Amino acid sequence: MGRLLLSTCALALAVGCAPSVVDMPFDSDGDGLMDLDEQEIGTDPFLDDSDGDGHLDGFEVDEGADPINAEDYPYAGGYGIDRSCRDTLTATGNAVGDVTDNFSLLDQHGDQVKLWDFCGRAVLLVAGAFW
Amino acid sequence: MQAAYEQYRDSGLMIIGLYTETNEYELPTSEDLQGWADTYGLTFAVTADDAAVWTRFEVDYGIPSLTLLGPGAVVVAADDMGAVSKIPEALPD
Repeated sequence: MGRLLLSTCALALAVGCAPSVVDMPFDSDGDGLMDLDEQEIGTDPFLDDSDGDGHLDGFEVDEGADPINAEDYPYAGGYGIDRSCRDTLTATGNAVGDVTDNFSLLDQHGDQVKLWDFCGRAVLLVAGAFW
Repeated sequence: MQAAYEQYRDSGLMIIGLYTETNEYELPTSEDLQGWADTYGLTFAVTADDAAVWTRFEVDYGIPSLTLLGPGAVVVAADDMGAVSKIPEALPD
């Protein structure tokens, strides 16, 4: 719920002008998040893309991304991201049982796909060529 | 691979295609990748492997090559064409 100041002037000329506060849902920047929710999350209620990564704050929240971190965004491909362990990983090698290093590669939607954005999931890597 | 993606996606599987070159032996562009994905109906990530990621896993027989990672990016099967059958055991709890 946001708070909106309403002037009663137009409605109550007979009794004089007085501002009043009305509780109502309000999304000032139209990003899908209510202003009070934005205050709690830390996003700007008057900026629809607080971290400037090209995705609306509300969409990022819905998709599990961080709307105040430009490096953290939903993929256009709609992949099921799970970054829950990303910041705890340390690469150890590439043999069975090792933690393999992160990578960032261009995908068919023009996004950079980062392996560790899926660290909470199993990942099948399929190497091939167009021929 | 698309069938495996559709079968296990909601259980915690991601598939990343690592494409090394086009028919003209060039690194695929985003448009090339989109065309490839559209042609074969692929909805998982189809990427241009300009970092030679696929060579990390001691690939013996070239491409195609499959490598399966469990949660935490832990290698479960490296350069293993039987990796698809191991997907269920690699899925998160």
